[in-house]
Amino acid sequence: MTTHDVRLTAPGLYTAAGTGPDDLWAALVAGKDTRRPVEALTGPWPESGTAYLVDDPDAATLGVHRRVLRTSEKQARMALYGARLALAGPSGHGPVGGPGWGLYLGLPTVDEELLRFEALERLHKAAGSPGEVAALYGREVPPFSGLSHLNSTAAAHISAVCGLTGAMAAYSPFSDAGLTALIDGVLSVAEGENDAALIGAVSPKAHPLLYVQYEELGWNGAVPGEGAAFLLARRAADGAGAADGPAARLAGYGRAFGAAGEDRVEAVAEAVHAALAAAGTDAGGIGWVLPDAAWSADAARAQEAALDRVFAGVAERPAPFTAERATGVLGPAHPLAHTLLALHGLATGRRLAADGDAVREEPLPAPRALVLACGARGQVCAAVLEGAGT
Amino acid sequence: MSRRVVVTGLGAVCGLGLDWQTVWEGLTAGRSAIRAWQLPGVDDFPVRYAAPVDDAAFTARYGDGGGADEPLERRTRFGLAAAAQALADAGLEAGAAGAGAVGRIGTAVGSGVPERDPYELLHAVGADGRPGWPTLLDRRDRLNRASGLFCTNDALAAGIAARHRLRGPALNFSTACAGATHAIGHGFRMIRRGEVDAMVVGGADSVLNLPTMTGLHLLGAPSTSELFGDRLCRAFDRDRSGLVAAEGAAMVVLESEESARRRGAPVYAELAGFGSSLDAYQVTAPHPEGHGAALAMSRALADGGVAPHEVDSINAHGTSTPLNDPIETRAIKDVFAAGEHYRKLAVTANKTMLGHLIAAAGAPELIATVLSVRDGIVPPTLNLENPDPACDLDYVPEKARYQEVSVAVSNSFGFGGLNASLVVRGYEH
Repeated sequence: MTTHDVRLTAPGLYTAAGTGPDDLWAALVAGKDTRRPVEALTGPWPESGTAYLVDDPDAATLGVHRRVLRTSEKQARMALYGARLALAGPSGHGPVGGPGWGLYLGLPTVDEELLRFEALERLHKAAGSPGEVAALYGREVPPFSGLSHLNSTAAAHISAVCGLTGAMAAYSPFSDAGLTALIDGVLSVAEGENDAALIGAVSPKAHPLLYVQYEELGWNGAVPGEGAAFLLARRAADGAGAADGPAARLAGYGRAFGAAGEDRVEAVAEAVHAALAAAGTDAGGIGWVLPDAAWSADAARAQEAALDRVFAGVAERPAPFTAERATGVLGPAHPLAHTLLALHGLATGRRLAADGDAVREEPLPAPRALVLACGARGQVCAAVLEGAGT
Repeated sequence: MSRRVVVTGLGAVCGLGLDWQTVWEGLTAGRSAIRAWQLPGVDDFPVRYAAPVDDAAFTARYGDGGGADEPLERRTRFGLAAAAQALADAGLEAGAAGAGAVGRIGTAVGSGVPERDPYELLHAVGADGRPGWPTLLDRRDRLNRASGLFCTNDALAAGIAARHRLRGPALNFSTACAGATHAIGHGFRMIRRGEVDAMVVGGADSVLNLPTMTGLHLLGAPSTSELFGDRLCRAFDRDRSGLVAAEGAAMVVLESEESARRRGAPVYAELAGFGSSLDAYQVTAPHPEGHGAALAMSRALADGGVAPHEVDSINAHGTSTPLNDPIETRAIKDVFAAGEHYRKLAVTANKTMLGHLIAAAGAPELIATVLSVRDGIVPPTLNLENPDPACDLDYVPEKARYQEVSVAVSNSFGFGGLNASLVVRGYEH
């Protein structure tokens, strides 16, 4: 069995644009402004007074006991919500859970503060004495922070809630982690390790410390967003059908690394060429290009240069399209949100194209989509998706 | 394509030594890296024992950890040093005869919680003594660049790839205490299916800082006992009382058999199988019947085409926590139930000597497993003086055992029930 025998279906998407690929598609076409104010940021970055935020799912929304909230941060809860949306859709996949069901996740790190601001005055006073600082941490740090600040706890929650005991992996912290989860999740099914794999990724919480981190890593001002994107990989032979909704398959993938400059451009091009070759096509066979929402200038330049190289000579080159204008930059979840848009487009024979500030729908000229992810430090993943019918 | 995968390079940095040879010599001699420990400047932190890296000796030997010119977390320094060591051991360091003879090389590492600066939020306190994000953001240039906020989880994998000009995938795994084992297992799979020709795989972690140790302590994970001094890590003993935290890194070079043979590289052992699982139970405790642990082991054996009765030894997760040890024992008995083969297994807990390297733990334990197979020595489980009745296997107590080890399993079970196992086999062409 190869990745061609694995169907990708059951989209679960939670972004500022709503709770499904349909919502996101419609918001993009309508040019809906989905941003909300983030007052803490308006000082150093006046242009960053808004971000693409989502509500923090509560216990009732998640269908869990309130104690789950004590061992999770917002991003773990967004992930759990994304997983539930995927599995709550049309039930063509039959009963969920058990040893044949695996889990593959792309997770950001948890970069929130450990102490509450209320404790900082005391920290300030104790700062000269490490012993007093240690005692303060012992008193003030939330009792379950060891779990809630551990990003992989999201996997534990999803596994427990959904009853998944299959093979698993979780990757972090940037967008390549999301596409790696897709690739390895599909491979786990193709290679017989899992019967089905729940694949997903989540964004970091839009937090002031995240902006500081992004700035250090060469942030180009792209606006962060929050959300989660999930889908299901399942053997086509298992009878997944129309009830599962639109379906696609991973026709090819490529992964590479290039730290900077020309190495990075070459890495992106190499990953794309590998994905195209595995898919048995070339650049002319791609109908829709969904590049990463690259939030650093270096990654954006490398991606653009590599796509120019790969698509040179293609008569009708598809213009790159990203959902960023309705979702913001979703970190690990971004390439998976793009994957879900591609599923929708491949099923309907449509694609989205940017037209200045507007987005228009148009026929998909070729039945394949290329999704890219570029990590912050030179990691690259590329995936070619093609329709698998409904 | 399905290729055999062999181990051709080793590297380790931990409390027991700054290279794999010293670590292996320590493990087989039954030497422990665990010692009395406190956070710098603190004399009453409740956790009083750990297995730290000797910082002065590390810096004297490796400088800042691989020729880096930017601020680095401790874990990244250790990881870069271990990776350089493993590549040199494999004859693949820059300038070596073997460098360039291997096709596509990638890297995969397991990492845990970033090392945060406990004082970082003080920059949020303004002149009026009141804290606020605008103040911190205005002063963001004062934040510690060697903290986990800036040295993100992917820094080690990317650092290894950049320094050694590896063009294959650079992956970072976040599966808690199973992180390194997942990284090794996925690297193995990538070679086996032909995506790459070699991988530098392993893990690095350092939790011996105030924020992380506070979080672990509040969960009740590390032992706070002072009853046994530096013999505190007592896996499978009735008096075990929690893990003993450690820091360090270990890396191995995995390579396709074809590549290793082509360049005449010495082979330590064959990595034959990998399996993983989820407990689907609780985030705070492992499944009481060890279902997830048993699944990971069974899958690794099936993946490697190894029957349970072929296994001679198990490098246990063996954390010395009240919950893990009897549950892992039960899982081993389930997997090796046929013919009561579990009675013939030599089970060892390296953490009694290394401490618990958390996300990196599986990497030095894989090295020990590989060398067990190569050398025919099973390291001991130290401090096993009064076996827990619920832990009734042969744990090789106190002294290393010389015995043939044809096939061995190495286990890693992470917080929240994220499990992974590897199968190592003696290499025969």
